[in-house]
Amino acid sequence: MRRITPVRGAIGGEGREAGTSLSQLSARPWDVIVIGGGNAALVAALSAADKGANVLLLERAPEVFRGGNTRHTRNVRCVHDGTDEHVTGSYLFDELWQDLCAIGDGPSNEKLATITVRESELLPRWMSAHGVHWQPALRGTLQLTRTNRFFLGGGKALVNTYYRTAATRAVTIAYDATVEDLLVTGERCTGVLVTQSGTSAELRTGAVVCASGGFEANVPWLREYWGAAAENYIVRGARYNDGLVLSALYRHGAAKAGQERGFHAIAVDARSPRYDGGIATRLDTIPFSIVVNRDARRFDDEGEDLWPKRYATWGHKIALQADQIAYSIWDAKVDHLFLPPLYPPLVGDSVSSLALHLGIDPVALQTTTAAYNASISDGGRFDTSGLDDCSTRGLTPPKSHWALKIDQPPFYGVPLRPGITFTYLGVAVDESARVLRTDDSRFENIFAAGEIMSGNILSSGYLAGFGLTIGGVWGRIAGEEATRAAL
Amino acid sequence: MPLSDELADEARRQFTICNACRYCEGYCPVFVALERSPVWSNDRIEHLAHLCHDCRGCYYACMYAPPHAFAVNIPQLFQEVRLLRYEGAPGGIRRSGGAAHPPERPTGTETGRSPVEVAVRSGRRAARRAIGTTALTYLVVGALVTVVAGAVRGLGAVWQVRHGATSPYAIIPDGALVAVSLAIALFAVVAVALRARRAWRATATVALGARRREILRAALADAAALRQLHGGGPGCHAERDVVGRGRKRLHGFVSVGFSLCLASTISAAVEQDVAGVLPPYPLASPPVVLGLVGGVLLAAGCIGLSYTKLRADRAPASSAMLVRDYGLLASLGFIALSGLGTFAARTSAGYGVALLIHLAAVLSLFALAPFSKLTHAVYRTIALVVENAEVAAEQAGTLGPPPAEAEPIRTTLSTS
Repeated sequence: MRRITPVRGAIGGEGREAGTSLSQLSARPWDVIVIGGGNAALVAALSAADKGANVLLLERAPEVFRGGNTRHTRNVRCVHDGTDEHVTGSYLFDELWQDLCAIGDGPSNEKLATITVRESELLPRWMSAHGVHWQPALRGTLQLTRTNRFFLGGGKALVNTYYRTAATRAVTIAYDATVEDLLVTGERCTGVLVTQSGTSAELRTGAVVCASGGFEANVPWLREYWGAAAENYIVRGARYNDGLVLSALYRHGAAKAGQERGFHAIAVDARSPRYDGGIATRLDTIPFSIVVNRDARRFDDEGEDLWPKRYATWGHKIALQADQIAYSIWDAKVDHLFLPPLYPPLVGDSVSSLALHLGIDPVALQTTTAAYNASISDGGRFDTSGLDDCSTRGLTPPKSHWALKIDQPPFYGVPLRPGITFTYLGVAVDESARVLRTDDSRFENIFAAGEIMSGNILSSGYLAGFGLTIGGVWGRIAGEEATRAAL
Repeated sequence: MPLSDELADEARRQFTICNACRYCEGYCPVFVALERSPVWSNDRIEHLAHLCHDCRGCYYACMYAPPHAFAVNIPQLFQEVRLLRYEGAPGGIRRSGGAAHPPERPTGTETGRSPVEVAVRSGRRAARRAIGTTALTYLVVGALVTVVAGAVRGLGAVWQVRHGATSPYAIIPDGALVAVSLAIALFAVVAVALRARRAWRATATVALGARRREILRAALADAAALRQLHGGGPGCHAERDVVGRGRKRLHGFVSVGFSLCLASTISAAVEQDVAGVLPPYPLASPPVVLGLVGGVLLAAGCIGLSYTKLRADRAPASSAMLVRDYGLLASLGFIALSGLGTFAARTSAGYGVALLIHLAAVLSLFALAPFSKLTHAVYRTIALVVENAEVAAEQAGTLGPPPAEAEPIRTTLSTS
C-alpha cells in the first residue's frame, strides 16, 4: 500500500512536511503559485512541477470540500481514434469541432478553441500518467460512450488522485487559503496576498496561474447583470467560487472574455440546496413532460431535440421566466421513463389538485393541459430512443417530439430553478495562456486556466465534459508556460 | 435482530441519492444492482449490504459524504446493516416498499438522534453483549474440556512431564475429544446452514436454472478472489490516500491460513482413521506441515489486519463492527498462536495446559461461529450468487422487469 502522510493545512511535496502557517509559506519565493484547487489548478501545478518548478497551490476551500466544481464532474471529452477500451469508437478533430460550433454561439476565439480541441487528444494519456483511473466497461448496465471518457468514481476521485500525486511531487498545498489580491507592478506579478484563518501574508512568486473558477457563487456580482433574479439561482457547485481573483485581475487591467450574462445552467429541482447539490439535483423529466411557468403557461418546446443535446439550455430558459421558476408536469403513463428524481415529485389525482400542491393557479394549469392535450392526435409512434413523430399540432410553442396527452392520473410535478454550473465571463488569454490586458499588452507572468478563462473558448451553451477538457488543456499550457516564465 | 425500519429508511434515503448520481458504478456491482431494481425492500437492502466488500472507494469519491448535508456514507451504513444480520435475526424481516425520501439527512428521530446514530448506539450495547457472550463461552468451553480431560485421565496427566513428543490423547482421550468437537461442529454447521437458507430465500431474486453451475462457479471465483475489493482497479482504501491491495492480501493470509489449519485437522483424522497412524506426527507429516504453515499465515494475517484497522480512517466505519472485527481477529490470532505454542511445547511439561487452551479456543470459535462475524463469508457468497444470477438473467433477457413497467431510460451522463 502506498501511504502518503497528510498534513493539516498544508501538504509538503516530496515527502517534506511544510508548515501550516502562512509565515512559513512566505519564507521563500515560489517558482509558481497556482490559485485554485480544481482540475485546471491541479493540472497546472503538476505540469509546472514536472517541468522542475517549485509549486505552491492555494486552495480556497477547506480540505473536505477541496476541488472546486471538479468535485461534481464525471467525464472528459477528448479527440481520439477509438483504439482504447474506455471509449466505444473514434471521435476525431472535425467532429468535436463541429459539435463545438453547433452549441450556443459557437467558439468565441477560433484560434484558442482549435488549440483546445487539438490538445485534447493528448490529455487522457497525461491524466493516466498522473494516476487517474478510468471507468472500465463493466458487466451489467454500465455504458461507455464514444465522445466522453469516464474517470473512475467521478470528479472527487479524480481530484483525490491529483492531490495524492501532487504530494509525491514538488507541489505544496495550502487549504483555506483565500487569495485577496495579486501584487502587480506594471506587467509583472511579484506575489499574491493570501488570508488564512484570520492572518494575511504576501507570498512571493516567479509566476502565477489563476485557476480559481468563475463567480457563480457571488450573488451580488450576479445581481449586477441579472438583477434580483440572481437571488433565485441555485449554484450546483462550490460555494467558494466568488470570483475574488477574477475581480483582482480586472482591477489590475486584465481584459475580459465572455459575456456578462454567460453561464452554463441546467434545470434543477427548486428544492435543491443553495450550493453544492451537484449532479443529483438535475432533472431529466422535461422531454416527458410539459414545462409551465409561474402563471401555469408553457414557454418553450420541451421536445425540441434529444435531451442530451438540449438539457443544457433549460437553466437559461427558466432564468428568463418570471420569478425564475418553472414546473415540469407529467402523468402516470410516462412516470418511470426517466431517472427517478432526487426529491419526490408532488402528486395529484387531478391536474388542478397537482397545481394546488405546486402552488400555481389550478384553472390556468387546466387550461394549459387541455390546450396541449387537444393539440395531440392519437396514434403517433412514441419512441424515447430517438426523435419520434409524437408532436403537437397548431400549438404555440410546440412540443415537437414525445408529446403524449397528460390524461392518466396520478399527475406528477416538480418545481424547477436554474442551476448554475459556472459563469463564462473571465479573462482573455493568448495561446500561451497569458492573461491579456485591456491596453492590448499582456502580463509577463500571469496565466489563467479553466473556468476563469473558458469564455475564450465558449461564451454560451455547453458540451458535456468539455469543461474538464478546457481545464486540462489550458492547465497544462499554463503550468508549463508559467514555469518557463519563472525559471 | 431484524433490520430496523429506521435504518432501512436511512438506507433508502441514501440509495435515492446514489440512484440519482450513479458516479460509483465503476467501483463494484453494488451500485449497478442498486439501480437494477430501484425499489428497495429491507431484504434488498440486506443483499446490497452483504454484496459490499467494504473497499470504501465510493466513500472517498462521494461529493455528498459528510459534512455535506446529504451525508452519504454507504460503507458505514452497510456495516451497520450487516452487523444486525451477523448477530442473529430471529423471525422475519418487516417489509416496506421504496417510499420516496428527501435527500437531506434527517436531523433526528423522536429521541433526537439520526438513524445511524441510533444504530451506532444500539450497536455499542450489542458490542458489550457480544464481548460478554464471547468471554462466557470461552470460560464454559474451557471448563468443559478441562473437566472432560480431568475426569478421564486425571488432572495429573495434564501436568505430567514426558520425554519426546506427546500425543494429545495422553491428555484428553480420543473418544471424548471427538464427541465434544463433533457436537459443537455439528451445531455450528446446522445453525449456519439454517441461517444461510434463510438469507438465500430472503434475497434471491431469480432461480439459478440451467446456468446454475456457471453462476455458482462465477460467484465462488468472485468470493475467492475478493474481486469486489479491487475497487474497480486501484484497490481498497484504508484511508483516503492509502489505496492498494494490502488489505486484500492480509485477508488472504487469514483465509488461506484458516483453511490450512482446517486441512491439518482433517489430514490428522485421515492419518488416524484411514492410515491408522496415531499422533504425535513427525515434522514432515501433512498435519504438522499444514498446521505450521497455516498457523503462521493466520497469525501474520490477524496481526497485519489488526494493525491496518488501528490506523484506518474511522469515518466510513461503524465502531460496533470494528469491535467485532477486532474480536474475530483476536480469536483467530489466539487460535493460531496457541496452536503454534502447543506444537512448540509438545516435548515439555506445559504441553497439556497449552493443548487444553488451544482446544478451548478452537471449540469456542465454532460454538460462536453462527452468530459471529465469521458468517460474513457465507452471507457474502450468497450475495455474490444472487448478483451473478441477476447478471446471467439480465444477459439472457429473462430478468423480470423491476416494479416499474419499463426500463428507465439511461440518460446520457452529462456533467459540469
